[in-house]
Amino acid sequence: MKHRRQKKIKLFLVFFLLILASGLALLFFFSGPREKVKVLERKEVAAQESSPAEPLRRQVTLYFPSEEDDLLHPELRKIKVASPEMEAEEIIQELIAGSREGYLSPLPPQARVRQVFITSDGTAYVDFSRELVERHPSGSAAELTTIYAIVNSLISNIKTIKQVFFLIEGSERETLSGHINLNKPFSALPSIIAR
Amino acid sequence: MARRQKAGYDFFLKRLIFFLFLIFLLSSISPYVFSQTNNLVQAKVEDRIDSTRVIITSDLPLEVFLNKFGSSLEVRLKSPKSLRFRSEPIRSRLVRALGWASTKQGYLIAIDCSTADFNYKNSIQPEPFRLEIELRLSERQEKLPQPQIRPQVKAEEKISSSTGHETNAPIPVKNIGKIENRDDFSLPAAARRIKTIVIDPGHGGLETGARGPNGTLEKDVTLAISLKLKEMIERRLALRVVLTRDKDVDVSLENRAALANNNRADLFISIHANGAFRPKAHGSETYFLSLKASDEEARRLAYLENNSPEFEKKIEEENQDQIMMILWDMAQAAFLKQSSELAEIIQIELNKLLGTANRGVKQAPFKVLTGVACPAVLVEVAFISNPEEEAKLRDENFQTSVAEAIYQGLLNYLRKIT
Repeated sequence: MKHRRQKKIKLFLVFFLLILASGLALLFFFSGPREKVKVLERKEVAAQESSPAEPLRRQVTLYFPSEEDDLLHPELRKIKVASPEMEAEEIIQELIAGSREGYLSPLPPQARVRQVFITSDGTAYVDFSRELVERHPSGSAAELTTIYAIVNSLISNIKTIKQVFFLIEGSERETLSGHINLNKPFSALPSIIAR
Repeated sequence: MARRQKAGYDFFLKRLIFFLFLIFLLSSISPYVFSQTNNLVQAKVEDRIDSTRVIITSDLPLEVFLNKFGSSLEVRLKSPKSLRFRSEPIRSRLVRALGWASTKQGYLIAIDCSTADFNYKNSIQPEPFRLEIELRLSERQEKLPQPQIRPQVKAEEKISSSTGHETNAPIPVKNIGKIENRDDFSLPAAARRIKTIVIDPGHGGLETGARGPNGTLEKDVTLAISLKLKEMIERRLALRVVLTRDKDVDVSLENRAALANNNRADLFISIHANGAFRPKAHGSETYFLSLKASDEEARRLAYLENNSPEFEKKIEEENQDQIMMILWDMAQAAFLKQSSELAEIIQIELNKLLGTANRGVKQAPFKVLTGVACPAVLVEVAFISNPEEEAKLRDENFQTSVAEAIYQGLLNYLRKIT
């Protein structure tokens, strides 16, 4: 009798603890920022659906430095119509691939875009591979050229991007090579564009 | 015996379950129970156009006594119950901090102000308890009842009013609301004696900076020029010169700014050689900081721009301590005007003495300048990426003329502000 009773109590105790633990676990997992996850999933799906289905293209303006002056010169390109993130990646890949009209490359050819993420407030986080820094020629003028070729090309072509924040291998970096501050986002700089 | 033990065990288990249940109950209810503002005294500070208001509220009826000691105002609270205190973050011209302490008779709130020259008025509303204290700078009232003040004090005041405005900046907060002619920046600047100049040779150590086509490194050129400039300033002017590095070592950009601020730098000159993608790029340019202001910073900047004479005086008077209160990120913001002047003057000399092409004075968000709490510029001497200019930068005579040009610019700046 006693044994049974003891067992009953023990069982009850274990059951109770289980309920408590699962309740806490539920609270823990479902009280977080659920909406963000949803948004991410939706975007990925949208990107996957649209890109292989339609080879629709649109015209964009890229900005390249020139041999002759310190300005950035426009060059037209066609890119695949896709999500803003995908379009941003393609624009940067085109910048890395270089000019077709004899302008200079604003990025080292070894550099790669790892990912682009655009927040709801219009900040594009552009994550580059380490070659952007390691193969960069350095110098203030070169840093400004690289930064604003990317920033101007992205902001002038993609409406949802208002400013650009640079990441290297997924994390923040102080500067490309000791000059311009990368700890803050950049807005477009129209004054550097040749007219 | 065994039976009794078992019974004890059962009892123990029951108790355990009861306790667990209790803990569960408590943990679910606790946020509602403890967030209630029982026995809580809340305080907030608000700046008005010409006064500052401290508002203290509580659910309990409190007895209050106010007393002014120098630059702080004591609010004594009498209450039969124990009290807790909560203050909203303080952003005020006059009130620096609110202190909370328990005393034998009750509790004490100390309102710590940036100056002792203020008077206060208070109004109390008993239920619910609300105490409003209005703090006002006593400048205006001081002038009217002057005859009543004892002659000694009057004499002191005369001295301060006759000399105060021209040489020594008056206590900054007094000038709020009275915006002076924006052109006489030189007056407070002149009062501030320039004693320490920090020269920052760009890069160093593993961080080589730009590399010329023939292998010249930016870090070597910048160090050579900086050492020459240091020697010139020390030999010809009675000023202290501090280098952020005097050999080929790595120094982080933040440490360079920190070193300047810790040495109480009055001017900061960073020396670099430029590098570009196009080999033809040539010439010299001088930069000062451009800020990409976030909303919070934009508000502060707007404040600085609207109140620059007042703000500059603030820096004169209270010096580094005040500056430390500004975020380091924003330290340079207060000096943009002086920095641009210094940049202009140095650029003129670079054009005149160096013969390099004039690329002008520019603004860019240079990391090294952001945290510097004094006028700060960054000189980009010629392009190391251009083979011709690379050869020049290697040449010791050219390095000496660069140092000479920056020295002349510095000298002209010092002459201009004194």
